[in-house]
Amino acid sequence: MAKNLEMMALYSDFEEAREAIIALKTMDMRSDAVEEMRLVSPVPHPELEDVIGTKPVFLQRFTFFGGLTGAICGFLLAAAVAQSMFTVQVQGGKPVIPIPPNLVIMYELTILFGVWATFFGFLFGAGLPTRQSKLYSHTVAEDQVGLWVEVTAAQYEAVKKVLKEHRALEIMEH
Amino acid sequence: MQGKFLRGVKNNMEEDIRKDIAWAQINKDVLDSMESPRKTYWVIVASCAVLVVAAIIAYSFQYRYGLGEAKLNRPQMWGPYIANFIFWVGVSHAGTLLSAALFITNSEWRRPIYRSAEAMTTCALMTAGLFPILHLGRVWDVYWTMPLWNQRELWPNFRSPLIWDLTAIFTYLNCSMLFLYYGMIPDLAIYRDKARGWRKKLYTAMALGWTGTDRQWRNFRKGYLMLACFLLPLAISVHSVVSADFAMSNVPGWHITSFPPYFVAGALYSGCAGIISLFIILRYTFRFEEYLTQPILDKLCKLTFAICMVWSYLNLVEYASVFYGQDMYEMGVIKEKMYGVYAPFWWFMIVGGTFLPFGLLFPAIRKNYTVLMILSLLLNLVMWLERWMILAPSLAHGHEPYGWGYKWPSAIEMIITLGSFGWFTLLFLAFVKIFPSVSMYEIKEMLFEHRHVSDRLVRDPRSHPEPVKP
Repeated sequence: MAKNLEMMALYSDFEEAREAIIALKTMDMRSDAVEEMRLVSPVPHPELEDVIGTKPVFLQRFTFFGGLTGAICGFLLAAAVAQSMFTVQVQGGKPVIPIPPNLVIMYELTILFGVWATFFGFLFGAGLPTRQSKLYSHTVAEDQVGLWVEVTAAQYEAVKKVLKEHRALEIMEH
Repeated sequence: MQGKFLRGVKNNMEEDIRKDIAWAQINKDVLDSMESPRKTYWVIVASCAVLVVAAIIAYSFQYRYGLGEAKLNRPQMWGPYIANFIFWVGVSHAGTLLSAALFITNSEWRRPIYRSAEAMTTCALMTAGLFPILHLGRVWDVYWTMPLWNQRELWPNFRSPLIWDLTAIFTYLNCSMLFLYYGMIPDLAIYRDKARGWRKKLYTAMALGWTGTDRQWRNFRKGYLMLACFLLPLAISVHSVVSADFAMSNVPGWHITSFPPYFVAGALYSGCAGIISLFIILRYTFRFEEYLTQPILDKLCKLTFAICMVWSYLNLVEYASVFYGQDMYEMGVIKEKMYGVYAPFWWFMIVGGTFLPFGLLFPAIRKNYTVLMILSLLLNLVMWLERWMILAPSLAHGHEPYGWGYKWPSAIEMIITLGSFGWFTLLFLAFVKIFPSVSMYEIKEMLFEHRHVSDRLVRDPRSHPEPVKP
């Protein structure tokens, strides 16, 4: 199988990038459709998900299981410490493992673990940390929108033509 | 009618920030500001450094000769150090309020100021965390508060609110730092592309290879929302837990059910006053006139006023409950506050804290930055006094008359208190010099959404604009 080519077209705004995505999606490809397409932009633009394709985000699962782990760890920590204190400290009729104070510790650790799990979930979902792609322009962090596509050699000319037709300011290739 | 409503929406959105700022200009303004602040910046840094050095000297003296030098003794074991601790934890709250609460409610005006507010949260917590340590007689044993294995089988007592407090503050500091960093990742990538030298290395490492792909943004927005949803209850729980340090004891004046909301309202109040002070400093020293605008300051002042009213109401509830209960010990503390040796401070706190914020309702005051700065500092003084007035009169006037005793802040305590203000400001100013204090991508997003609404209004002024997704 021939090695795929990567291209990134820079546009001055989202509308032009949107038109280019629609054109690429609907163009008559004799071979397979465009392998992969990404939008690179200085701000999030959820409206473009309609055309580029909605992809699920699994972050909530990290958050949920992180929070749950925190709650369990919080209870175990407070309970284990209370249990070990039992051997050296007179309890005076109080329960060895007291529930109400444990709830406070569980609450705090639920949040602590939930927050860290969310962060790691974000890194996992966003594919970070990563090496910076060779097809990157600092202008996409300023005021331009990049459309990154991966194409086969057979698609190359047709895709490049479409990107140019939609007023790409520059087309970078790798 | 609809058209009128939408014009109102449009005007309201346009006034927060100028609509025609070029996106590349935003990057340039923010990044340039970090390189070359006004000279006032260095004057403030030098002043704060002097305060910090004075505090270190004062603390060295206390370390050498013991807590007695700070005049901490029974019945006044908790003096200004603990007042400082509560005060700084309180200041940290407004950052989370502005950032997380206003994000969840989709308030646009938070965007230019939330980064500095979050930084304020982190710096305030780093200041607050010092005080329980400074307050220790044997500071070298501070690690005993951690649940570490040891031969004597001594463990922190998780039944104690003090250990809840430690857990809550640790969680809050941890999460607020992560929240601050998380929100900065796209901006760090912008700076990575522009910076040189050590800054380039630092931002390259911290940006984690962010490029702004749709996948990254999708996960980023979702994650930000999740973190905001965690941070908001956490902030409220932290100050509730701080209030538990007092409310769980049976000291008159402390054993009050309304203490948690009272502490949270006080925290938000002092935090908002702190944000006003830092807003004015940042706007001037970093030349952020385009981003930290008057309409945003107006909204911040109105929010502070609203929170002040909640705080005043809770004050009324607290004292009215005690008055109608007529418990002799509780009444003794209230009388001590009203007519005792601390009365001038208590009255200044009550009257000043309730009525000074009325000044924030006047546009002339909101537009006069010198007056507004003085007012915000006065509000912070009032809120510091509030914390001290929770501590001193109650400890002075407990259940047993033979245990009564007054205490005034010692010189060491006052120098360390002033030093804490220097330390906090120094941390904050170091942060805003190294990291972008105005969120570039959020401002671009704000402008983009303004344009989005405006374009639709131009096309069909009688139709509602499409809701913009957060």
